[in-house]
Amino acid sequence: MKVAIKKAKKLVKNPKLFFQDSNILKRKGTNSSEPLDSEPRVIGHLDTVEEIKFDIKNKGIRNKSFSTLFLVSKNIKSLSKAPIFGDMLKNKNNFIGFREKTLFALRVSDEVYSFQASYENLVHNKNWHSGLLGDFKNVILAGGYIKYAEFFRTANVNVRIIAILTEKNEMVAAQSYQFIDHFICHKSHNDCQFKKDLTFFSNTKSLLQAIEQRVTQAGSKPYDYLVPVVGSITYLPEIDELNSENIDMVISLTTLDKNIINKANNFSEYVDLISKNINYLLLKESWMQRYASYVTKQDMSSLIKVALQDGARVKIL
Amino acid sequence: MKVVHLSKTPLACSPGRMSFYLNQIGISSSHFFEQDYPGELQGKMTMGSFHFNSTKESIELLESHLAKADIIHVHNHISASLVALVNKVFSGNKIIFHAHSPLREGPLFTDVSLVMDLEFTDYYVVAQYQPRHYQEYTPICNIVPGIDGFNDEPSASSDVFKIIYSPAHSRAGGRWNPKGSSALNVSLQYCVSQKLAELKSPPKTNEAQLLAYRNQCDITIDEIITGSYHQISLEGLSAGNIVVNNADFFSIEMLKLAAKTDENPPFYHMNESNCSNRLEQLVMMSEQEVTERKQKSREYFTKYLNPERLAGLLAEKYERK
Repeated sequence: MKVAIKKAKKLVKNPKLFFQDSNILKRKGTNSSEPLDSEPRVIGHLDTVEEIKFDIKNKGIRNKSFSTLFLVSKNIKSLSKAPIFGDMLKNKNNFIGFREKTLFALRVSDEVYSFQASYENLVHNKNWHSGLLGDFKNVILAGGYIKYAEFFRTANVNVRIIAILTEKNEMVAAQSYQFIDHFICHKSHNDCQFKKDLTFFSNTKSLLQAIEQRVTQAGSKPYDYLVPVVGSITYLPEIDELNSENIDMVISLTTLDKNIINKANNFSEYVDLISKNINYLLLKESWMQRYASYVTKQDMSSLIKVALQDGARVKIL
Repeated sequence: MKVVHLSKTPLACSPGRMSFYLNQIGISSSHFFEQDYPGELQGKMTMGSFHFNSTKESIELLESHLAKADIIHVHNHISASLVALVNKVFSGNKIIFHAHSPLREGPLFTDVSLVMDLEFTDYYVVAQYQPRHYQEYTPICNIVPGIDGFNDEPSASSDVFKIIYSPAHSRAGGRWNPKGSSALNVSLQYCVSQKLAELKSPPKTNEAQLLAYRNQCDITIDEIITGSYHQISLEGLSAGNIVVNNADFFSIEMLKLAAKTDENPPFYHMNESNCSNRLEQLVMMSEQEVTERKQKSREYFTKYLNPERLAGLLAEKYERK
């Protein structure tokens, strides 16, 4: 009787889910995770059993600047039970980045994986370097999936890789840092050496807040102006021009050593040298948020290097 | 010293030219590529390079060069079978990886020196925008040919100025690959329709002939959208053209670093917001001013970018332990 009332309530409140869960319409397939593939939120698979098989279905993504791809295990039977992702689905604040046409799941087989070994196949796989994957602004890799950072980072210029490390996860190798843009770490990992944008969380609520914040920052900004990061300038006459000219970073140098070409052997050494003579540095607000840790530490050399690596358009005054 | 250059494709003649000019300064060098460009460009982007196409003869030739080589100079990515051949036959102690392409976009996407099963000893990178992606690698300036005696003194065309602009096929999307600009196209069309300039887009031909065509023109346009310069800008300087691009501070500084000069190249800058004004200023210049600027380009090239000098700088880097 109780069950009947419960089911009646369900039919009224959420008819879609009622029929989906109903035994009458349940598929007779032997693969019990198959129904999950037809979920609107599931957009594809990453199958690394033999070689990388990567497919992303043709689904409409809305609000692409806030769109997010989240990796879940193929073993998960229900998306609402997937760690972290399940919590994002609840979306109590109706955050744009977690809505049905914006937040999608990629189902992954947990097998041994090597990007290097898969490289030749990937380069010929249009799903990887073109197509739907390029429509996602953010890719979230939690715990063991951080190993896919290179896979996603190298496929696309504009994607943001958000890595999440929970209390249970082990710290990842520093080699993966170059492929990660934002690192959200449980506070127990206080020795994390990640530099670009590192933030700690203590519970689910603060984790979701941190994710929401990064997805918001990566989304489109109506106004995105050049702001000072180091040094002080009272007034720059060409600031309006610079803001409209699509420049992401402005550096003013006090001097430029003519002999620098003989002192530096490569780009990195060159930037180290000129960073000693910075008068002031301006960065678009959205760019500054990406490198919050460098800004706090006032590490200009690293900031310039990572911004240029990420494609910042720069002007030197 | 014997050097073998390897690349999958001709890479816009870059390794071929390097190899050719090393020979000119007395260093034995050869260049093998695995697959040629399809269609119109087939056979046109080589400079005495050898096409290794797995015929018995080409394999034997390659093996004999590899066996005698002291240095292997790998450009971008080469196939696993070629890598295996190198590991089987090469007995020298220097294997160089030389990056020509960006990260996060085609054709490489990632640092392929980590993908190929070769023990690289040195790491080079083309001295344009690429050092931003390969920050510890040694920037190397691309080598382009000088001009023959037929056109010693660049001077402005007496009627309208000739602009040569022939953007090659470029991959869509990405930060560094795109080359086209609709704003520029509109401005160019305007100039042409007002008979302020003549636009030359020569048909696909071999690189020597293209350079000769360029020599007949006044202005070379590279691209104005990414903030880098390309091999075409260097060819424009060689041909005594006014070179147009939007090369930013770091692109230019890497050129100077690689070419060991503290003098800025005489590029004529324009971007998408100001290209119509800048283009109009350019085509309205006096013959005298255009002649002076053309000569400045040629002077800069002769002084700092002439092929024997750049080949010498490359050889110096080869000798570094």
